[in-house]
Amino acid sequence: MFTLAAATADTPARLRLDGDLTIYEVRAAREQLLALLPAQPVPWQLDLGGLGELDSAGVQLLLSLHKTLCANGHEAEVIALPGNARALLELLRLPALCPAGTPVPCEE
Amino acid sequence: MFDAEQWSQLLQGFLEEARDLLKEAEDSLLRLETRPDDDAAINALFRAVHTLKGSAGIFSLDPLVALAHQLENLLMGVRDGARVLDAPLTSLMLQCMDELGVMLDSIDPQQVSMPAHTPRQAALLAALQAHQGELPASVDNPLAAPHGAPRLRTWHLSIRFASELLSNGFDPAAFIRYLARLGDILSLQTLTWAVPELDSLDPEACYLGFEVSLHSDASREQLEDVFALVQDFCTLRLQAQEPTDTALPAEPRAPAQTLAPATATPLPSMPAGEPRTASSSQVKVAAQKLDELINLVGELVIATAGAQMQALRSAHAACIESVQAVQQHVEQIRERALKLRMVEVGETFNRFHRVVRDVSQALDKQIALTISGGDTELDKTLIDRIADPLVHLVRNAIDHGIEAPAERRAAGKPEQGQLRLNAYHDSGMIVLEIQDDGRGLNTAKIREKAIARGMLDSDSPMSEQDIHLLIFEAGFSTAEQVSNLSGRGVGMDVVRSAIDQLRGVIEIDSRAGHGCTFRIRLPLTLAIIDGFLVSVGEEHFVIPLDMVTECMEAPANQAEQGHLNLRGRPLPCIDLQPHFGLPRSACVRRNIVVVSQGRQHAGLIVDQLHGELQTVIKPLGQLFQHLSGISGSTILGSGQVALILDIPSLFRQSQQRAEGETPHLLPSPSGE
Repeated sequence: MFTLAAATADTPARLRLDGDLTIYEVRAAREQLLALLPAQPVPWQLDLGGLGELDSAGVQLLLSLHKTLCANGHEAEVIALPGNARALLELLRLPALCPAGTPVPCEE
Repeated sequence: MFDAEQWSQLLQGFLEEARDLLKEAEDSLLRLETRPDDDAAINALFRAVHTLKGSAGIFSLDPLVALAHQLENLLMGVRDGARVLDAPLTSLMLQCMDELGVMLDSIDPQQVSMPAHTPRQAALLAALQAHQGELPASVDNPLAAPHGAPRLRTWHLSIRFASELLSNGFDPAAFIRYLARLGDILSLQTLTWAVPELDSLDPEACYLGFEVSLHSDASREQLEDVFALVQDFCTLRLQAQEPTDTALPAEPRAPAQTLAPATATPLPSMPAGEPRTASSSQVKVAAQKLDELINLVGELVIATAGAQMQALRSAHAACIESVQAVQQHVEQIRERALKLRMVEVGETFNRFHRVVRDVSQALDKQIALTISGGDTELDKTLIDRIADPLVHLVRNAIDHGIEAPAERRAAGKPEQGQLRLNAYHDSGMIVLEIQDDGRGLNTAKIREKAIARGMLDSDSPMSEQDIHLLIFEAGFSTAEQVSNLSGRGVGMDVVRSAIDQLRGVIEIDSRAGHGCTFRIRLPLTLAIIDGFLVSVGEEHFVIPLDMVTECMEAPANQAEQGHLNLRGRPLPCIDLQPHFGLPRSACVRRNIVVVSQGRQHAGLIVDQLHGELQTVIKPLGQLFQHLSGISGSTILGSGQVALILDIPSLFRQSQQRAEGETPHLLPSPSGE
């Protein structure tokens, strides 16, 4: 479900998500993410272009991923977001998970 | 969706829940009567009725829903401060709750149906509607506005979800979407601080919360209904901002950022600070299953005693050691098993609020009920069996004990009478006290009446306490006017026999003009006791260990006289050998076991002391019920039967025997 393209000299590490991220997937997704977490602080990109269905459980997992990356000093940026997922994140007023021009600064 | 059997099971569950809810509602209502400002009580009351209505709706129990709905409407007014919960309204609500109880009882779980409206329900509904109509339509109070006129307001919602929300198939976002359909979301903040990092994340637990400002014409009820489905998994606080002028909808006021908890209204389904998780950590078990377990533990105790005896006989050191280890565990299991049956007495006490209210209203007396020691634990069987005698004593105290207001005023007492229920543990027994500040027992009148009824010789010397105890004799009533509440000449003797059956005793402490205290002492449990094994000749007896205060060698001649000098105090003695008509043994050195109960002490003269023993009480069969002095039997490890001594009845017998003899032969009150 997640695929990670390692960072190169000029491109950040890119994590691509394909498929749904709902209550049915989050448990497996979390396992996979834990295995993929980088040891060294590198800039990250989260490509949600292939995201199918997203629900609150999925949003929570993304929030947790974002928090984890921030806590470890990674920069995290979301690139590409399908419309339905964007609608949900806007409804919940969660800009941190929406694609922006610049990497979203870590809060807290 | 469900077959008939599943429906019937669901309905059973609903009936159980509904009875609990009704009880909760009634308790809260009575609590409100004494403390009208108790927000927790009004919320609990509202929640109970609301949940009852909702659950009844699932089963299409329409008459029940209709009544609960009207009740809820009235309560809503009370909760929002638009209506005062006065005595007539409380009475009406109590009647409605009684009726709801009757309706629940009338439901046939097999048919999933209930009889239609009865005239009684119709009358209650009409009365409720009449009250509803009285609602003052005050302009100042926005909540008192008629329901038909929706008004635009800005609501501030604080929503916190329980972690089980997601795993129960709910999506928090769905509720936000639904809110968006009810009005304009002016601001929304998703609270994400609780979301942990990946390594400690439980992906199926919900960590989210929301602060929402909603501009809407929805009523409080409508908003609460959005979350009704998840009331077990969410805490909702709702606050209305000043209503916006409908002429200027373009300029909504700034929403409040934070909420003062004091003004927040929790969702009726769950007040803040009452963690729902507490209920999920409890398991309901049928009382009968516990009984079976305790019976088995009883057998285990006996079997272990047998094993220990065999081990000792074999003198096999390793064997003895293992048996001892087993015995220790058995003892622990016994203790835990008995604790399972222990319930707090408070629940039983709380029902007296209603009794006191009804009885005092019927008699036109003002009475305040104070309850203490509600957390004292007692065996469930005991509680069930003591509840009715307690009701009788409470009614009696209100009817006969506490005077009418005028009489109290004349006696220089406050018009409001005080009634106290108290429970506490005392030397292995539980003590229940019913205390009033009324006129106290009329010793002279009781004595007069007892003589008139031939219960007492006119010249027999009797202490005041003994005279008081005469009120427990069959067919005794001193009330000048027989009321329909108590004083029908039945009851007090029933109280006494119920307490006797529970191996308990009742004491009366009465001071003329100052009040009266009934003190009931009960054993903590009926099933197993720690006993002290003694023998007279070949016969073994068990004395409840809690009652044993000391043991000593019997002096050769003193005890023969029926009493003994114990450190300067006379101690009445009962020699069990002649008492039970046993053959005289050859035992030269005899012993005295000093037993006490409350303030009474006595010495039991026996042959040999064998020490402590866990005893499973086997009740005496029908044939032996009349035997006094014996409360049950047990089987020793050797297979021998030992009789369990009934100390209270031995005390009574020794008292009766001592009558007419010198007064100091009565079991002596201990030196205070």
